[in-house]
Amino acid sequence: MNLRSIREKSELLTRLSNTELDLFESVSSEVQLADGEILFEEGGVADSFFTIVSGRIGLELTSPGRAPVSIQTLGPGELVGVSWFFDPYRWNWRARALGDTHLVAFDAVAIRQKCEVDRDLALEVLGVVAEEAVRRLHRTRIQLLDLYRSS
Amino acid sequence: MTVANSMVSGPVTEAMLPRPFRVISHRFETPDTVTLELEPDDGADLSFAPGQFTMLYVFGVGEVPISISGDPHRPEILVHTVRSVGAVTAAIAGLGIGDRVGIRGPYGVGWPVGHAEGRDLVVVAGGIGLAPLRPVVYDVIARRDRFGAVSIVYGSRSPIDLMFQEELHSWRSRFDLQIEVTVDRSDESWFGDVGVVTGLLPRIPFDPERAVAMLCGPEIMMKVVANELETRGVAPENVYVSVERNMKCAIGFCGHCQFGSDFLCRDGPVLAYAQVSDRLRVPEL
Amino acid sequence: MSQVVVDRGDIGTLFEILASDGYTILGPRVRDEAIVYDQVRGVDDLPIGWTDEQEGGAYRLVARDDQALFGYAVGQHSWKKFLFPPRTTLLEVKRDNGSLEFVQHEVPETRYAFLGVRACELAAIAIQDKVFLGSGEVDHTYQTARRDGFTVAINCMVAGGTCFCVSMGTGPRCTSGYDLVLTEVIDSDRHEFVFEAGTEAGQSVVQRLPGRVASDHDVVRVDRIVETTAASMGRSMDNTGVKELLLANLEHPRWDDVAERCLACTNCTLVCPTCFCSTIEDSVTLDGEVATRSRRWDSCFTFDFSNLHGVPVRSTTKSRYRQWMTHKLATWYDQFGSSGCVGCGRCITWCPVGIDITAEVAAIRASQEVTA
Repeated sequence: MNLRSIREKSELLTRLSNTELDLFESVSSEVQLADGEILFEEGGVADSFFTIVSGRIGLELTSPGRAPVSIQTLGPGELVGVSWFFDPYRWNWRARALGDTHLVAFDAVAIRQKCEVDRDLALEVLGVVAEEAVRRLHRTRIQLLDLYRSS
Repeated sequence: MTVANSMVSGPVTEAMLPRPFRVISHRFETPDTVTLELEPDDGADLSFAPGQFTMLYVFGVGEVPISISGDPHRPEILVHTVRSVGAVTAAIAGLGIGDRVGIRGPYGVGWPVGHAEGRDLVVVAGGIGLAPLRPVVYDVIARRDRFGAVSIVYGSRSPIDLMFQEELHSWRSRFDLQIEVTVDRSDESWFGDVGVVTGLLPRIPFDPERAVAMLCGPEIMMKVVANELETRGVAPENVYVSVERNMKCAIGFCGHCQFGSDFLCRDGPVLAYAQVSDRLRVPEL
Repeated sequence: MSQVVVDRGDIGTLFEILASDGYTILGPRVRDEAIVYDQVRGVDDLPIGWTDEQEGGAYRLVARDDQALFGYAVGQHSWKKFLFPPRTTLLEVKRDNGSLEFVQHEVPETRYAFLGVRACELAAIAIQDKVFLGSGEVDHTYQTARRDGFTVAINCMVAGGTCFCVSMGTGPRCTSGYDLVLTEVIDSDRHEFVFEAGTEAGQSVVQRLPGRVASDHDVVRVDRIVETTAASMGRSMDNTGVKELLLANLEHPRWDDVAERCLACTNCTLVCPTCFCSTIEDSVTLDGEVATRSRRWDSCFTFDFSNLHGVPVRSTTKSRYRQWMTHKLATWYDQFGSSGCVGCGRCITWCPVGIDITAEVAAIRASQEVTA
């Protein structure tokens, strides 16, 4: 897929330089999921990460006696996957498509290797991942406030 | 007489005198929230602008400000959506068809729907905050061609706390409205979004240069959304919030609703975020 | 309008004229060891020979060495107790077979003459006029009392220990808002009152008073009295830029400091002649058929004043004191075009712990000058 066509709408890609974008494109592939299909499993090896083109991804945890419940959903333009950048490179959540969902996948191993030798790139990618992590932390904190409860 | 003539001319009337209204329908939106339709005993329409409120009196219990959640193009029926959180609102929720209440109003400055004409409109509601914004949606639908892209983002505590579900469904079926709904806590019945309303803003089509946003919900939610909109290029002057404070009289006399220099009963409840953002950051103001 | 000088011996005529014009006369009298405002029927009801000594948290009556009728400053009462009564019935609601009838409460058509209104109090009334008559809706109790009232103002011959009307530009000379203004002149050889009308109604009273036309000497004597009073203010407050000063310091540590002392007793708001906050109370007859809605004075210092869904927005004394003072001295300008403070000093005198609004402003101002 030509990443330039979706660059503006992707929080990840919009931050990359043209050279970096070419690199990302060289390790990318498209993923098409139907409603309910699993993108990755809790505990699985985090060897890729994604940007959503269309559709939604729900992050869930499984628990005995309960059906898996979404704790947070991600939509078009958002980055799916943070754990791929940090040791031990395993997913903390299960990611499931909510409705037909179109994503671009990136080879996390290749990007990590590239980051080992290209510190400028590493810093750029770290910035994207950290920003996304902070944004999610912020949203989660707001969620924790239980704003809409009856006082 | 030592007071200016202009100040004492005119009839001496009681601004606190309500009109009797009769409950003609009652439905639970959620386990603790009801929507009432009311008709005036005297048959006189209660015309209002979206975002305005009335003072609703329950015999012997008291009076509370409640925003109007009905259609501004149908002033013959007054619609209120009330969440039971105190003595008076619990009494309102317990009213039956045929019961009488007192109504004064409408009061306050509502949403700047006129200012939004010719622009993209972003409506963001949290919890019961969708009630004061529903008249905006009715008004926009009635005059849809006058607005650019229109989106409604609605956040709720959980799926059972979602109000106006039938309407959300019918609005969603329109091609000229984008509806996004999210909950803080999902359950097995829920296949929609989970998370705070700000997470849905990236999906909303609007041109930041010509968008007007109307936010209603808990103050924290409004602040977070306003900041996110500002990050996305919407000037705080074009973001409007509805601020709530204690209110006893609704006519600028009792002093309870003061928020800085504003009497929210007559200068609000809807104010430009640019005007109040500093105040919203001061604890206990 | 010309000034008329009435001898102390003839001053009773003023009461007769006002009474014959149909006024109920309200004025100063001694009660409960203070000078309060209540109905007065004649000169003998006035606080003859008394004055008040005032300081932060202290008020006491002291005998004067003359027989002055108005030789005091102000007590805990202000005229708002008549114009905006502490309790007012607003309306009755009658329930009959499921229907509701709302009946406006009739305001008694009493015509009040207010006797002995100080310059700061005229300013306070002008401020409450804006609140209750000039901001959109009209309060009908207030409107009735103002429309039918008659105001006899008085230029102060003494300043109280907590007075600062000069700082607020409201006194001690009465300049407007009265039907009649008088100045009490006590010299070794005379005890007289110099009257001047401010309205036609006032002029009609002056014409019926037994007296002589004031001489240039009398006019100068009045000026001297007012100047002496102005020069003996117990307090002063630098009012320049106070709105900006306070609004820029909403989280100043001084608010914590004052909150340590403030009891949130509400005294300052009750004695303040401009404070106008109220609440509404509902009561129902025992048979449950008639409900009454009444208004009573409220205070931004009470815990539940700011309740939102059962929880106060301003739960701390710090935030409530800040609300009161920033409203009075800052946001009032935006709301009503003037300060909400007239410099009468009541909030200082009647504060049980002697919190002094002028000192609080000075403290915040001083801290700014240090850091500036």
